[in-house]
Amino acid sequence: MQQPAENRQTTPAAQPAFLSLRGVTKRYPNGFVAVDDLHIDVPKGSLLGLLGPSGCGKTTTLRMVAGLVPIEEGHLVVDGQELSAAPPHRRDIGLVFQNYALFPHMTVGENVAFGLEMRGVPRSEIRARVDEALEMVRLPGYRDRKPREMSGGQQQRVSLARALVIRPRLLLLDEPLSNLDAKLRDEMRVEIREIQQRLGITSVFVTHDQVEALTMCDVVGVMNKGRLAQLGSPDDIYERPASMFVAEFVGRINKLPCEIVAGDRVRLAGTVCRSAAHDLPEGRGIAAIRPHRIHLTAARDPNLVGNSTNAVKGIVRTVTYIGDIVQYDVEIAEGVLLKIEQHTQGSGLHHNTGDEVLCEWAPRDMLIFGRDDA
Amino acid sequence: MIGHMSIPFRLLVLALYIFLLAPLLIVVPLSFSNDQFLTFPPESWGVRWYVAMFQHRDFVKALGISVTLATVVTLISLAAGIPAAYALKRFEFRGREALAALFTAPLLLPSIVLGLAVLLVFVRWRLLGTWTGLTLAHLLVTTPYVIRIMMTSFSTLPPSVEEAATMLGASPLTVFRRITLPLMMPGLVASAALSFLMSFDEVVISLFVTGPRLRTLPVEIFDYVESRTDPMAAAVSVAIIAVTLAFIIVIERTLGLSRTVGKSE
Repeated sequence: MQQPAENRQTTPAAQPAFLSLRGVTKRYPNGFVAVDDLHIDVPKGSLLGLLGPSGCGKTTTLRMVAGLVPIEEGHLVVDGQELSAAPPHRRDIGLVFQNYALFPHMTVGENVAFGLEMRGVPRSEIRARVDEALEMVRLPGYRDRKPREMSGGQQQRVSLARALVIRPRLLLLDEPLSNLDAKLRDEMRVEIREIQQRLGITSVFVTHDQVEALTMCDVVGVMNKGRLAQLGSPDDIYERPASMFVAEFVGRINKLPCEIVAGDRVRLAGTVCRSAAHDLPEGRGIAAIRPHRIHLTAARDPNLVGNSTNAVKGIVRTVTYIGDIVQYDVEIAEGVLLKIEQHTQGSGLHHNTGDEVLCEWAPRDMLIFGRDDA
Repeated sequence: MIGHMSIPFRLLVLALYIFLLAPLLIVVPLSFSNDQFLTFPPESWGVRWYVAMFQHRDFVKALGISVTLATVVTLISLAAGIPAAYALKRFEFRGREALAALFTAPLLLPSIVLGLAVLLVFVRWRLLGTWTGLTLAHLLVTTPYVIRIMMTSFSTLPPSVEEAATMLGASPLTVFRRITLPLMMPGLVASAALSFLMSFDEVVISLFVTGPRLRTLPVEIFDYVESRTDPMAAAVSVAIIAVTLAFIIVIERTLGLSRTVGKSE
């Protein structure tokens, strides 16, 4: 009762992996498995997003790649080199922290220079490279400032410059935007992605925010309870989620019990609908439809609607006007509510509470999951 | 900050300063008296009692004891307090909050209560009038301060700062030398200085613990004033104040005491 096999686990084109996690596992002495048998390949220059709720193991995974949490089971291979046993200070990996982690007793310039000093880069070259790095994050002329004199966004940029100036083989970002306010977060999202692509540096980005994962990353790994729930392009993850967990995590979705008739047919609220799935075994299932993929029209005879779309009659129960969209709760059967979002078309054009309406959606927007997937 | 104060408030602050510094206004002139007895204002002036102070064998001996004691106490309270503060800040374990409260509890007790408690226990353990007893008693006063200050110091040093240095290629030793040590230095100097001064100035608890052959300078002064009425006590007091002040000024100049003892940024 899954999605068609060819739609699952669509790893990006068969480029050779630059970063490779093979069976990486983290077990704690008390028996808790924080990361469970992770297999991920990331091609050179790609940005991998690890997405999941807190406690799903995404940060532990990142810290294992960094070397801050030892890898006791499984292998980490970067650029053909086995790194599982290498100490963190010899891995040549840049890490950007959620709390910036700048050295408070050093100036911005000294912070950025630190990694170069550790590498024995000559003084004259350090100066040039620090300036270049600060220029890249759009903070030229800030080298003599102390971190505490700067805003959160500026501190995070310094932290990015500090991680990148050593020209690391990998860039790791641990929720780098979570401490910033919403507007700055949008700006930094674009900026980090732009720098990452310009440098072509293979990166791993840990986040609990699906918007960050979908907008910034080439590949997204959704994690749940230490396991990889799905690995794929943002489009795969959103349009063809492998499980109800993934479907719910990456955006709002209606979750309705249904009865599977045969093939791609399911019965929902007394109406037979066509779904994106095929070869479904008979039984009970869960239908999942995104609220904005349902089209709402004034009630008319469902039989007049072409059979290329599904149509279910209902009554509007609540209307929430948000501005760019209107949210409706439509009762399509006794106690079964469908959440629907419609773009506003101008004032007065939306439906009102108590209106009889017809809900329509395309078969491809109706995902079916087995009950145990939920 | 002073610029923002209203006039009544400034007057209040001024009054408080006068109240706090009034003893100095008496003691400092008294110490420069050449009189045989304590009279204010002095009838003749000079440094006679400063000279006498250095010739007074009991004072010189007590000074040696006090300096030695303060040094030993400071070293031990740093050695015990720093790891304790580190553990309380960095590790998660059961009873951590309770332990932190317990370690700093002596800060809340009046020293007379502590002194009495120490006396009752030390009588049994035959520690009265011994170096061990005196050191233990002073540690009771200084260690809580070291723990408190170092806890503040460590809380301004999140583990990620050390991890960031590691990721940039610093070996564990380099991380300690370049990151951890400089960042805990202000706290370390502040707690060492405070610990030294607390021990050096401690009177109440010392009175309970010292014996006839082992007396600290404050206790010696206390006894002296009880039996004698010449201005030497004033000269000794001023000398102690001068040393303490010099200590504070040096720390303030090098680190900024208000910053190190004060809040984290």
